Amino acid sequence: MEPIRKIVIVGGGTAGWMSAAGLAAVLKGLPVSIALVESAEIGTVGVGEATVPHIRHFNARLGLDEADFMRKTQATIKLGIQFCGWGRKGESYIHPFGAYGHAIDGLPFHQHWLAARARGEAGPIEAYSLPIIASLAGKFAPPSTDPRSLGSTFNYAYQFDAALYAQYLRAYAEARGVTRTEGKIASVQQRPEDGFVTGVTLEDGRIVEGDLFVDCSGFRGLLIEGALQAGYEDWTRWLPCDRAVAAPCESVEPPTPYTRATADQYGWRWRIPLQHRVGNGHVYCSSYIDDEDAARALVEKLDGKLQQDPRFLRFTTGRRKKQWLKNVVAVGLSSGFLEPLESTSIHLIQVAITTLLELFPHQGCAQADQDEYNRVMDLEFERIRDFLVLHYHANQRDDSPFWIERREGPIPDSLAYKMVLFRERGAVVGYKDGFFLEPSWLAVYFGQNILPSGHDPLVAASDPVRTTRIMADLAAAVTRTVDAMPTHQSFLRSVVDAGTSA
Amino acid sequence: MKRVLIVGAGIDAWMTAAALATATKGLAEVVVAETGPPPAGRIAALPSLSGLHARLGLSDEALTTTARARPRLAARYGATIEPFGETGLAIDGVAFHHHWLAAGRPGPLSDWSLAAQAAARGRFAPPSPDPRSPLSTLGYGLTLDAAGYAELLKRVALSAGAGVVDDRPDADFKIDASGAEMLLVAHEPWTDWRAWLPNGVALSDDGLISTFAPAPAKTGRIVRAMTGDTVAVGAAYGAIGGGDGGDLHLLQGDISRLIALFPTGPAAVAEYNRLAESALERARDMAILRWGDLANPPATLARKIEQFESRGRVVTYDDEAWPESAWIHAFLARGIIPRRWDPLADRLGAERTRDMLTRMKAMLEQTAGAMPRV
Repeated sequence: MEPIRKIVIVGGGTAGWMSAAGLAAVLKGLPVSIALVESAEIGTVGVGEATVPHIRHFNARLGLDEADFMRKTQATIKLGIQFCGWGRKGESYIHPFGAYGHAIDGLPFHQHWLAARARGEAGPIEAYSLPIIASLAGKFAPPSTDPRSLGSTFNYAYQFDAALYAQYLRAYAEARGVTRTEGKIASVQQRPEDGFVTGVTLEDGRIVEGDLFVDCSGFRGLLIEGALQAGYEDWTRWLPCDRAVAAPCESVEPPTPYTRATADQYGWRWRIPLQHRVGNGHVYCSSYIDDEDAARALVEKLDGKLQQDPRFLRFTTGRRKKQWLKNVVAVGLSSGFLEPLESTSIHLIQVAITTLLELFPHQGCAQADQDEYNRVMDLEFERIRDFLVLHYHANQRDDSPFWIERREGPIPDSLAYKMVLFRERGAVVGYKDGFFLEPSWLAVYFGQNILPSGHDPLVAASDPVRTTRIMADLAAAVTRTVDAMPTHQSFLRSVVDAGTSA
Repeated sequence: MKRVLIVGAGIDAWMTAAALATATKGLAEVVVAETGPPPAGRIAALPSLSGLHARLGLSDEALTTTARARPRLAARYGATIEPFGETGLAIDGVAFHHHWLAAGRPGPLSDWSLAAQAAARGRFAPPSPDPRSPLSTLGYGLTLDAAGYAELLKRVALSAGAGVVDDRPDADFKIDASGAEMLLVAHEPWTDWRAWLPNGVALSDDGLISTFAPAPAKTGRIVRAMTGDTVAVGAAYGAIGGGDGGDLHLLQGDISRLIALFPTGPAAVAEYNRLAESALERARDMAILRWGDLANPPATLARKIEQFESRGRVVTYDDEAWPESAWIHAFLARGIIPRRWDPLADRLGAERTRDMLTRMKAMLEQTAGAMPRV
């Protein structure tokens, strides 16, 4: 096996420049060079403008200054996602970045809440979540570092302009030695004996050679599929939406500290408020609605004036069968696609980079490392997939055949297993790997009217009078804490102003 | 649920009764049908047992007086010791053992463990909660007098409302805590592990470093831990011969899981069984690594060995009982040494890395030297 001396990243965009920045930051000081090939002619997709809290670890690992990053990417704060119309039309709930309440007598808070609710003594579950109440009030302050404080019980992410983020990371990566080559790829060279990729030839005849290739070429998967034919596992039987249309509009109100996902007749619409505009999109199923009607459904419901003509995207939900094959690692859309319902696109890029670095093939590509990488990424994709399917499946809408089919159609066995346990006793299946943990599952179950028929029988061992009092005190403390927070808008202003004065 | 019947003896039965009676607080009658005499001799427990002791309100003083508890800082299965707690410090986000490998392994890895340094000096102090103190890296387990410990757990169980019965009355739910006797579940289908684990281990030298010697054990498990109205916990469910504290850890895990999934219906049973199997198999893999036959290991362990041997990476799955540091010491103790390490550990240069390791070790030696003698 030959040592890895040169990494070639094929494609820019969010995946390409995140990979370049992440690899450059961690591999600094080693005799490994990084080149990125991209073409300004090929547009980037950039649907993932909303993120999950892990992005803060990524930024911290690069050593980015938060305020500087927020100014340069027009970022706003995200405390969760508001889902409108997913259970029944007209209903809404927020999936927050934080837990509901705290354990009482060693049992999860929501178990006590279920019992109190049956007694008629509990408020809505939202009342016990600081990030939900703060979201609805348009408030934000950074979490407290004191673990005993209620102000420490949440996390946050960002909503930003993914194209600006890519530019920001490009500057970071280039300052750390990443070389950028402008050009369109005409062909891929492979070693005849084993099919390893040796280089890419550009349209003007230049050849970029390398030892390890990171395929960030988007849906096409120029290397992983085009050259290596890794194969694609199609998940559209569970997640049939296959197109999206995106269009930014002007802001007409201060940005909300949350993303909104509104169920539409044949899919759903996203709304992501940034500092300077609002990003919007409509994810839909082309067997029910055509592009023109889908675009109209999006444009008609915008907050403010349309800023650009709607752009269309086509995709097949699923996963590349091998995300690392030979000396090619697929990162971003080339590795698979899951609709941005829970803002996981950028998260999956991040997990791919982190896992690649953990298994980096310094001495050459060993099969054991590829197998381990693929095991980790497969789990990550599958567990997110199940969570997304839950959103579609757990609906009570009767206004379109699309929603009736989602409710009555097949779901993965792994999801069915989770739902049966939840329905029996309100318990969430736990695991170490995978992004969405108990509070996230609870948010969607409760928010979409999936209520268990029973709860943890040991709740009955707690004194109900005391439990009711603890819950009421908690709800009051949440209200008090949120009242004392500054508005999201004033927090953003302080970040932006700090940059102007500096 | 009106009555829970526990069939068994000693620590298995009384730990189950104490934890269940404490958690259920009289919701169900917890009764124990004692099936045998109290156990004898001294046994080993892992650091993880302290959480259960806190929940049961068992003080260090009670453990010392009644169960004659003594701290232990490391375990020895073969030639080298495996200390508790952390070993070394990560530098620039790269785990310590990579730096140790990059420096050319200048001494046994356990030289960079405070627990090992203290044990070598016959000294002990409790860990510090202050993350800046080197004492925060210390971890310790216990050795206990088995009969005294069972007696202590029995006292907790009885004062929490558990009762003793002479026969086996009808019950809504039955727990087999009879260990290898498997009094309620002997008819269940059995998966045998003796090809991987022809024997178990038992405590042979009880000091700050506890030494374990081979001991006979029938290793394997019944296929389903829980059926509609019966569950087998501890060695009645599955045995790895873990007299090094592994058995107690599994027993405690079974009891905690039983409380967390206190029976409601078939979905809770399925989830209980899924988790019980996964926890036992992860512990089995560690037992095979420590004292089993590595010629043809289970696929999950084979992947761990392959990743550690090729690049020093510790693969962890859901439901692991041991932290990464325990796995690293166990691999090394079996002579599995990484062929390569994280090249990021080479950035400092071998000489500077060795200097840093020397300073780190001196600091640990000094800290250990200042601890009280035991």
